[in-house]
Amino acid sequence: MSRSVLITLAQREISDALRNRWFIAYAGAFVVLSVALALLIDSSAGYSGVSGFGRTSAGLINLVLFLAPLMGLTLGAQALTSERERGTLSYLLAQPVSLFEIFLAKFIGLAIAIGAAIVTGFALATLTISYLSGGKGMDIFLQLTGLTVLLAVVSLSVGYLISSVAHRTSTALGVAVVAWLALVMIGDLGLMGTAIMFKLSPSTLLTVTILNPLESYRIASINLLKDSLELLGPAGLVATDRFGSATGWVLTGILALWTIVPLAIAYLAMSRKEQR
Amino acid sequence: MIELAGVTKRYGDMRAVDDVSFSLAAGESLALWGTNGAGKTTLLRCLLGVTRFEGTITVDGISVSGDGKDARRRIGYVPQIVPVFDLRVGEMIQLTARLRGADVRQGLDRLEEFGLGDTVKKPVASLSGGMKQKLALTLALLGDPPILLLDEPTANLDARSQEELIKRLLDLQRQGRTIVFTSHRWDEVRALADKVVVLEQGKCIATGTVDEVADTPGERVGLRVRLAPETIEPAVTLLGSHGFDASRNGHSILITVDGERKAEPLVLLAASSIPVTDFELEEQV
Repeated sequence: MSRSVLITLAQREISDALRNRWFIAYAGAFVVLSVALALLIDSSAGYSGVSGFGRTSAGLINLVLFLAPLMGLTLGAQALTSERERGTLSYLLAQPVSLFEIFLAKFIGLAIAIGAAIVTGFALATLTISYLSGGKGMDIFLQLTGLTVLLAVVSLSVGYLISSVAHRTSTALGVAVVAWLALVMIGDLGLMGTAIMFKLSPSTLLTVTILNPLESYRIASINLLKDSLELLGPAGLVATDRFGSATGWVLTGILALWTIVPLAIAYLAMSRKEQR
Repeated sequence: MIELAGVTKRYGDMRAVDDVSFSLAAGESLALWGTNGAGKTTLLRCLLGVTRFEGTITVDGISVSGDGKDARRRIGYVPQIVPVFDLRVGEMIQLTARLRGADVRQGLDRLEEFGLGDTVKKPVASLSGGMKQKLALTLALLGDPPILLLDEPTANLDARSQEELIKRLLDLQRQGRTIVFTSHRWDEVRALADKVVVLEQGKCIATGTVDEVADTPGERVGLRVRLAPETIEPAVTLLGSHGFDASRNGHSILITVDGERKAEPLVLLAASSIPVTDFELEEQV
């Protein structure tokens, strides 16, 4: 694998992302909403007396649960199909470059672009809160930033999988939006209803919950804010009870698996399709 | 320089390329000749090592299926249609040069030589067909590959640009480059090729020098027939049922027929009340 080829293609992906209207809209919305949330929470801090970072983090988790997966899924879903439709993939493959290098470099480039958008949003929210309320709780905020980038990369990986099997960009985008809706809907509330209806045991409930990467992220991130355990929901409480202090690591590991497994399947699917 | 032995490419039960073998020495040029769907582009994809196939292909002694990357370093590829990268001409040269490990300056100089020096800052999408083809050739020549593969190089060009491109390709051949190109235009083949491989439904039906192939008994011509859109499918079916090799080609039908029977499809269509609005002959082998 050639490092210079990877860098060249990843750079191209980043500059393509910066020209992509979807990416600009998502990144802009994320940055603006993060800062607005920080300002809003600071203005109401007098009533609750809770530190700015903790409250902003809790607020940002809800924003992230909607926006980061949507950003990763839709951008990932367009990544390979649009290259195929424009004929650019065939052109790149005719160069002294392997399919794996193209596949990996595109993923890295997109992950950097999406990660940068998230870090910018969090950084501006951090600056706002630091300026208004001081720096208490900043370490948790930084961990939350890392976890959020990981969630976006997970979504990108699933989007990539959709893109590798879809024939058209429009189909891939449609499937990505349905996947996003499914992941968001099968959240805590949906699981609670299911648990009551089917009388699920705590272990089954936990397994079903962590199969959804959004729930893994939600529990892991709320677990960071130790003072908000009541927000964890039933599955989260089971998780903390089962894994104890390792809960964060276990859930982060699950998110890492959610990145690697779809990506590996996506490569196999793409390789079959392109070399058939 | 290029060796193919028993190359077969299957899509399910269909053989897009069927047991094709040929070899080409350094500095020679070869035309892959045939109608649409004959397997020309698929064979180019096999030569590039970007698709799986049975048989062996070596380029400069390197197996394309074993080490495709290294083989492609020796090949400059000119696609039929230049892909729509959202880049300026200079950026496109820079991207391709970096992927090929070549000097960007070489590409810019070549662009100047092709009369496109003032397009460096223009978006690739804004170039005319002829300019895009020159750009594609500039990109293919980055890193000085000894082999050029061209897919229907003159298909989207006007007569003047076709002539200009053929001259450039002849110059490149004189400089020692090995050229493989696909074509369905006999004038282009005659001007450029030392050898011809005639493909029909994936099979190599004739091979030799241009004169040898042209003298092959049973010379066939391409008859392009224009019809009302709603009559195209019934006409293809009718011609097929009478043993003619007919296929839809855009808004017309392309029929490959023996030179001495070229009126027969027209008579058959007229007798079946399918009006022909226009027709033209394309010289074939």
